[in-house]
Amino acid sequence: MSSSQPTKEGGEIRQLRSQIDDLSTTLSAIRNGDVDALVRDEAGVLQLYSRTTADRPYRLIVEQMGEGAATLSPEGRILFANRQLAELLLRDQRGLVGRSIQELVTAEHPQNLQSLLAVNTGHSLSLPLELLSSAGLAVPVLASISGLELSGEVVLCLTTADLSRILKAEQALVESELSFRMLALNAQDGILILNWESGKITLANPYLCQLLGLEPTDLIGRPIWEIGAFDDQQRAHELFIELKDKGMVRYDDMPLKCANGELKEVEFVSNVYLSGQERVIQCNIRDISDRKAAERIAQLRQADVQQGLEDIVAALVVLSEARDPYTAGHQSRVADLAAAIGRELGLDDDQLRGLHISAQVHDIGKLTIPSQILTKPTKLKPQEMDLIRTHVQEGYDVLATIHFPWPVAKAVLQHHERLDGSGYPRGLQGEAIGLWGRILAVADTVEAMSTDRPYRFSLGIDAALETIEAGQGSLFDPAVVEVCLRLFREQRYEIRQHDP
Amino acid sequence: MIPPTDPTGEAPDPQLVVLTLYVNGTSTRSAAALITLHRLCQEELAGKVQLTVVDIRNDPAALSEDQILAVPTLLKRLPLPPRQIVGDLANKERVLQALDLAP
Repeated sequence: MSSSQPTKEGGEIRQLRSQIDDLSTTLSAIRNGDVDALVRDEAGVLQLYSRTTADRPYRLIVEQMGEGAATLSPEGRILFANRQLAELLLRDQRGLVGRSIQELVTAEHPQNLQSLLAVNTGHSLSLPLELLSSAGLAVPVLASISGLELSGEVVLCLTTADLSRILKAEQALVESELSFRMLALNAQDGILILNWESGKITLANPYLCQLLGLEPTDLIGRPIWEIGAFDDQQRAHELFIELKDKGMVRYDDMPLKCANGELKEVEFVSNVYLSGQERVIQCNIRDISDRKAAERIAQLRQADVQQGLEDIVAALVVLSEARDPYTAGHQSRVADLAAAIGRELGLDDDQLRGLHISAQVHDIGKLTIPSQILTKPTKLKPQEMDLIRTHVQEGYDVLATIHFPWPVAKAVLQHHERLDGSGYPRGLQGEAIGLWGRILAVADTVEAMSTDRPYRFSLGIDAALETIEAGQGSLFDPAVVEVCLRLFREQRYEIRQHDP
Repeated sequence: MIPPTDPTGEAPDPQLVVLTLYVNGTSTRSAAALITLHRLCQEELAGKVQLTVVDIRNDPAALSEDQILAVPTLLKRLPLPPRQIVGDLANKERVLQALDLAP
């Protein structure tokens, strides 16, 4: 036997004893419940069976919480880090264990980390820190540390709330508020912001203050109906209540009284909206005083123009009827009847005015016809009839040069047209003849037949009505004829004699 | 992992102690074991210890390499012979003795 044999055998024995000791301690630890998990070989696959301990729910919370969390030794060495902290730092979770927290913090808050690591058992502290991600980016966090005793040792529990999103949101909010404030300050319309509950003004932009001749201090903090701009405070208060009920009100023409007593006409639009969790009311006020004044001037000018036109028309009528006493008053009577027909057909006041004027001048072209032909008591020769018929075009040519706000010249041109094309001067048919021309055709025919002419006596109103009735739909517009017949037969319309 | 303090990269010191700690995530035993081991490494084995921490939840394959039966387990690879201690690792003296590292 060699001298090394006992040494080799002794070494093997010692190794076996060590293995037995290790197995014994392992078995003892398992029996005593000193292990967290057992490893079991199932068909060649190692399975880990964890013990469900009382702290399992808390471990789940740590793993699933939204904030980063870690446990540290008092010296700042990371004993454990959850997935969220690893993701915040863009680092591998396994690689964080054993690292010093000082390596993962920037120099932004040097004293804060030292203060946090000095927290004693049973105490807590929260301070801002800047963590350093693997990409070299600074991650602002609010770090909270609590000191715990764990098996006789102090363990620091760290949680980190990511401040970068909060800071971004705060920055965005600041920018949004600044943007709104600039908008309100520079707007060329009045803006008021009211407290939804009390109706008190919380913001009045410079434009509105200038418009009303008031200082901001005259407005801020006061209920809107008390600022003196509304003549009827009670009504203004009622409008505020209506606004709260409906969420929006709009007034296209509202009078506001300025500090100097001047009245401003404004467009007032108000609506309710949410600012965060709070309801506020915004009032947009546009000064339309100048526009309203311009509109009034335009209306007056239009009225003047129309009156001027009517005066011209009246003068033309007098002039034309002076040459032909048999038709004196004819145009005026036709105008009355045409307007009555038009009213029954639903024409509005402005259209009736234009129709009346058209009828008053529908025979103005007869000024160009020699009076001896107009007043000839016997039957006219064909060439004389042709000359008479020219009065339509002549009348149109004159009236087309006057800028009427209605189609007067067109109505005069068409008053002798007939639906079947047998009329003149152009032989228009059906819808090609405008409504006013069709109304004048009926009114002119009825009036002419029911009054005396140089060459005949009146044929009577009944004959006139029968004539248009016979031509209803073929010569004359059926609706116009129906209305005319109803006027005379049911409503007892009478053709009033006008003084020549 | 706590690296050895030898910066030269030469053949490991024969006095080098190579340890591997297997833990199961967030357990209190794991945290207590880590604290104890870090203190042990700094106070008793300063300059001559290499400690690797393996969280078996993230690295289950490591279980089969070292035939681990339960966690937490502290495995001494060097110096030979390999030794291991399972369970309560909070007692520094017990750990040193079980790993044949007691002075």
